[in-house]
Amino acid sequence: MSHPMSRRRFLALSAAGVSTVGLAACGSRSKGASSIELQIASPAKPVKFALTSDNAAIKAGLSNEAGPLRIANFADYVAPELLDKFKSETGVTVELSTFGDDVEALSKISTGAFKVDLLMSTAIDLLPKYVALKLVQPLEKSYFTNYENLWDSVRDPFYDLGGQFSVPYTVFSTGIGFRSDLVAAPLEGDSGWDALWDPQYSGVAGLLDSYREAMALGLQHAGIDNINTESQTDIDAAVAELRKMFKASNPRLDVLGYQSIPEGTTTINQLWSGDILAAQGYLPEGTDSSVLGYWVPPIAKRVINNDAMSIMRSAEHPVLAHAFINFMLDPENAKINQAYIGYQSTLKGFEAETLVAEGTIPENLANALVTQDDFTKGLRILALPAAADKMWQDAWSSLRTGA
Amino acid sequence: MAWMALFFIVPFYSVAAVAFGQVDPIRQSAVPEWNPRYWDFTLFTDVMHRVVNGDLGTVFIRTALYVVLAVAGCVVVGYPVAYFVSREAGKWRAALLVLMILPYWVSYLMRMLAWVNLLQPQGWMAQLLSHLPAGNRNWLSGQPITVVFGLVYGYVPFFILPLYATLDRIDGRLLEAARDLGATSRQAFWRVTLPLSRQGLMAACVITALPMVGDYYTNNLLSASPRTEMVGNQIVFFLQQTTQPQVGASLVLMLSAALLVVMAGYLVSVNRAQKLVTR
Repeated sequence: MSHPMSRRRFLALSAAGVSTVGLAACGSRSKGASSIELQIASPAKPVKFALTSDNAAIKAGLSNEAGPLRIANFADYVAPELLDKFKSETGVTVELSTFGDDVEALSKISTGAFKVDLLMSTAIDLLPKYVALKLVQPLEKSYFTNYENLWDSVRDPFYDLGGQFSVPYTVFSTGIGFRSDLVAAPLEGDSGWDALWDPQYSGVAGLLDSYREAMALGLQHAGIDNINTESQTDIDAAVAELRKMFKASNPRLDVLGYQSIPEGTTTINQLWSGDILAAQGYLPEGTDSSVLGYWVPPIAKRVINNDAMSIMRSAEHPVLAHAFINFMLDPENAKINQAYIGYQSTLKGFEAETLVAEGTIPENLANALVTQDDFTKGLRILALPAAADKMWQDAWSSLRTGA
Repeated sequence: MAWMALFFIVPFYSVAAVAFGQVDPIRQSAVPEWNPRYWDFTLFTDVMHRVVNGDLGTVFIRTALYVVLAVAGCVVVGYPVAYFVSREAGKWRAALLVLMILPYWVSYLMRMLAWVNLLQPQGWMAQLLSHLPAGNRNWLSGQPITVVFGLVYGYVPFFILPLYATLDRIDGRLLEAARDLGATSRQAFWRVTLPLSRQGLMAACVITALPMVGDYYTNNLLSASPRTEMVGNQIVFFLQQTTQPQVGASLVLMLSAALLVVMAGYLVSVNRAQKLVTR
C-alpha cells in the first residue's frame, strides 16, 4: 500500500494561525489596509462561524450535476476503489488533484490554481482561514442521509460548532510505534516516551519531522503539558530535552515511520496512530503484524487530531460534492477507505472494540484507535499567534542544525 | 546579457523580493516586495547573525565540508573513468559513453532510494560492508560518510561528462611528443595531460559542486539526522514547513553570495588560462 507521506506533515505545515485579531492580508505597503477576523478555536473556546448572506448553502433537493466531481486531497489519502465505486453508483467521474501540504492546498485554492468542488482533508486549524476568506460554503445537511453514522462526539466539534462547514474525515493520536521483536522491552506504562531518550536505540530511533509534534513531545518530557505554550522559557525547556534525546538516540527526523518501523530501519518512532495501522501493509513478507506495537500516553497527555471534508464556495458541482461526502459516511465505504489509508474513520462501528472484535485491527494495535471519549478529552495542537509560532519554528530550526 | 537577465538576474531579484518582503498572514504565502524602497531587512539580519555567530554557521560549515569531500570523491572516481574512456577505450568508447549517460535516464531520487534499500541493516550492501573493519554499523543512522557517498554517487555522472569532453580534445601528438622527448607515461600524464585538462577538471568540479551545495534530499533519504543537516535542508524547512519563507529566501541569498565567490575564482582562472593560450 502506498502512503501519503506529505499528508502527515500537516501539523507542521499548518500551525501558522494567529489569535483572534485583525490581520493585514497584504504585503508591507498595504499593512492594515484590509483585515480579516479569524476565529481560532480551542476546546475551551469553541467556535461557531457566522453565516453570511453572500455565502449561503445550496438549496435542498437539487439533482446531481453532470460532473465531473473534482476533489483535492493528499496523495493516497482516499481509496481509489471508492472513486470507481462512486462512478458506478452515480455515473459521474471523480477527478482527484493532490497536494503536498495543507498550506499549499490553501494557497492553491485561494489563488484559484486549484478549481475543485471538495477538499477532502481540511486541516482543522486552517478551517478558520478557509471560512474567513469565504473559500468554503456552508453545508446543506439534508443531503447527508448517512450523517447519523458519525460519532456523536464529532458532530458538534469545537472547531466548527454545528458542523456548518466541515464533516470529520479521519481521527488519529500521536504516540510511539515500535517493533516489539526488536525493542529491549515493550513500551508500557506512563513513561513510554523515555525510550526515545534511551541510548540503546541510538541510530534506530525516529522522531516526527513536525515542529509542533516534536516540540510538544519535548515539552511533555520536560513536564510541561501546555503543548500550545507561548512561553520562551517553556520552549527552551523543550529544546533542552530534545537536545538530550538527539545526543542519546540520534533519531531520524522524517514522517516515514509507517515504512521504517515495519521494515526494521527504525525500532521506535514517534508516530501518528494512522501510520502504525498502515504499517501492517509494509511488513516484510512472512512477518506477522503482531510484531508491531504502539504506545500512547494516558488520555490527559495524549495528542488527538482529525481531518475534515469541506465543500468549496466556488464549487461547480456542489450537489455532487454533498453526495460524495454522504458516500464517505457510509460505513461500508469507510471500511474500504480505512483498509487502504490506515487512518481511522469517525463513524459508528469504527470503535476499537468493534474493529478488534471483527479482526480489522489486530489486538496489539487496539490502542492506536481513538475512542469517542478520546476525541473530546485528548490534547489538541492548536494554532499559535504569529510571534509564538515563529518562536517554535526557530527553536526547531536550531535543533535541526545539530549544533 | 539577455541570458544573464533571464536566468540569473530575474530569479535572483525574485528571491531577494521574497527575502525582504512579507508574508500573507492569512494564506501564509510569501508576498514579494518588488520595490527596494520598501524592503525589510530585519529577518535577513537575524538570519545573518545566526549564520555568523550561531547554529546556522555550523550547517554552512558542515555543508562546505561535505561538498569538498564529495567533489574530491568525484575527482578520485571520475577522472580515471573519463581518462580511460577518452584515451584507452578504443572500440568500446561508444558503448562506454552510453553507459556514462545511462544514469541520467534514472531520476536522482530513484537512485538514492535504491541505496536506501541496499544500505538498510538487512540490505546486501550493508551486509557486505559489515565484513569490513568498522563496516558493521547502521549506515542510514546519521552517518556523514553515507551522505558524502550519496553525493558522490549521485553527481559523479555530471562530473565525468565535461571532463571527458576536455580530455578527448587533447591532441594526442602532444603526448607522443612528450614520450619522444623521454617522458615516461606517468610524467606525460602529470606534465601534459593533467595541465591541459585543468580547465575541464575545474568546470566539472564547479558543475557538480553547485547543485551539491543546495542538495537536501540526499541527506533526507540517507540520513535525516540533525547531525548531517545541510543548508538545503534548512532552506526547505523554512520554505515548506514554516510561516517564514523569507528566512528560506535569505539563506538562498547567502548561499548564492558564497557561491558567487567560488564562481568568480573559477572565472578568473579561466580568463587567465585563455590569456596564456592567446599569447
